[in-house]
Amino acid sequence: MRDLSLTQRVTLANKPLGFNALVVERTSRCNARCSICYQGSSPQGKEQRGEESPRGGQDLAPELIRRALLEGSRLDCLNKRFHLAGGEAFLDAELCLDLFSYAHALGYYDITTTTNGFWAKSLPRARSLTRRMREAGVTSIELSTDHWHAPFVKPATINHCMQACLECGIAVNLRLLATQEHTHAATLATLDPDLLNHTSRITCGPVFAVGRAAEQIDADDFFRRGAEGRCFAVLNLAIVPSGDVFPCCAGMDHTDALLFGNIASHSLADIVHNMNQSPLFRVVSYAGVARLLKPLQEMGYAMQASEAYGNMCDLCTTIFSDHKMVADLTRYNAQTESEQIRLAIDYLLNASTACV
Amino acid sequence: MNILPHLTDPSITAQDPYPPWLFRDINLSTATEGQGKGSMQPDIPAFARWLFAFQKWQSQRFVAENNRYYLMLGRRVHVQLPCSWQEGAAAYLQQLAPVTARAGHALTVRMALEHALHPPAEICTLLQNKSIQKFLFNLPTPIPPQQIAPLLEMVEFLLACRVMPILLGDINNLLRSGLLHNQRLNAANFTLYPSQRHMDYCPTHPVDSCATHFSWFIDRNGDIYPCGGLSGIASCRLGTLQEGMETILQRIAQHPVLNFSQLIQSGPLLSPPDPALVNRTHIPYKCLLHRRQIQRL
Repeated sequence: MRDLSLTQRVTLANKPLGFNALVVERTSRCNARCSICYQGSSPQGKEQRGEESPRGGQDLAPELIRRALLEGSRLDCLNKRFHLAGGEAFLDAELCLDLFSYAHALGYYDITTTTNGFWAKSLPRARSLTRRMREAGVTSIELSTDHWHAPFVKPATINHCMQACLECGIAVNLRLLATQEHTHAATLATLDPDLLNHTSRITCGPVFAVGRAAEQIDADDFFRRGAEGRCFAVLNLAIVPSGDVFPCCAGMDHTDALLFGNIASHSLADIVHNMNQSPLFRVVSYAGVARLLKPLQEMGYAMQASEAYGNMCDLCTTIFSDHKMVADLTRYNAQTESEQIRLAIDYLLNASTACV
Repeated sequence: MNILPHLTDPSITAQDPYPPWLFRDINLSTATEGQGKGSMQPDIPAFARWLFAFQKWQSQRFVAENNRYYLMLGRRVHVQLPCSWQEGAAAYLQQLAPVTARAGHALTVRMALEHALHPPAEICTLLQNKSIQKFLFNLPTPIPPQQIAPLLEMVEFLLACRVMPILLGDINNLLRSGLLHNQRLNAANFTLYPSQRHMDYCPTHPVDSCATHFSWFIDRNGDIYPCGGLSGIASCRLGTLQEGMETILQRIAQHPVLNFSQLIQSGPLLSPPDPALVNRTHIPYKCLLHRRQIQRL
């Protein structure tokens, strides 16, 4: 980190982390089993290499979610946005409605959710649920649809969902993913053009080689953008079905080599404190995960060049899934810190000797 | 001194003692005054003075309030440029970019497609230096065929510079243009804003918290409003670029028309809308109703 400017070093050492939302991934179960799912969700829960993972079908207990919402409402560093995700959270729609109402009562002003919209099979059904969602305080939904979701949720269902949301005032952010073979244009062409034109936003991104996508999509079909970039401005406090809490919901939340605490045994405030005190995570968020490539290469790991990774989340997931790599990086960080302190003491001793 | 005495609800005061922290975005709605270069408003030196006064206020509060995180939030400055590069947009952006960067904020530029194409070398340099984070194109309907190739070229250039393109326009029009088949675009993160969002529908439940919509909306005269939806209504003005931050905050605390506590908690209190009222504007239905109610006062 010797090439950082003074301002960057001060930020790295002192700036408190902030989070845009409390994201609760209540379950890893999903009605769909998409080839691109970075979480590896399925009807039975999380799968790894086609097999159910340990604790894969476990759901986060509602009382723990309520406790997290209450504690989150008192955290300075957390924007009052509550985002409920999965798997597919709406497998238990009544619980979702209950959690939205609770968050609304606690003063969360932005209440959002991710869904594949499977519940909107008919327009009356879609209208009924969206009206209740809106009354419970939901402000917007992120509606996932693309080539890989389509076999599980038909375009007509997505159209019902968009229309019902428009009618009751819920903003729709249509979330699309693409590979070289399956473009955004192909997905959009399957949906109602008039509804598309009234949607709040369409967010487009590439599929990354993470989770099930890495196992099932041809490696040549991925786009690769490189791992450069910093993520401190886009952090979320993400609680996964096991109760572990992560500082992001874009990949690191599905790793297990750097843990900060579990909502069942720690308060959110303590977990945030642990994140703030983690030198390794501070480097990732404020200096960029690509900074870890060089030390890893020096330690003998066969890391690729930054450009070979899909994006920074891809590299982050790779590193924080590997316990040995994380242990070595932690040791490296501690050594670097000791070296810096020794240099500072030498400098001060030399300066005082010169004065004498 | 408690500058926001009416915010006594514990659910707000526990976290949001300063509604200004919710003003994450700064929207600069510029206009050309008269002819020739350098005549765009609002005036950049005045904006710079206001921005740094705001930074100073934030830093002082950050220290005084025991390092509260939200007082050090970075902000996004969105600038809407109404003319071509040659007519003054390039010169204005060249002045604005360093001011925004010095304050540690991200910069988003919004322009009509016909004005944005073929940026001059100095703007390409700004893009290459990552001085601009996002670039929004307002697309015409239909997109003239002769503009599609230069648009593709510019989008590819933005992606090469790691600047996110945002396209605002008719989605069918976009699909017909072939732009969404572009490999580079499919490999990137980008956003589409449909041109008719907010329009035509009259939602049954239009009202929610305004907290996510607040911005420092600064118009061509340097007048500051709490959001784009209320811009131009004199009674909703928060102040001007010439005024100090404390004055503006006092006005937020004791605003005669806007109850910010109410707006943050649950949005404006609106009388039932006329069922025949259809939104033909580009602002959300809630904001349309709010505007009409205030204008009737």
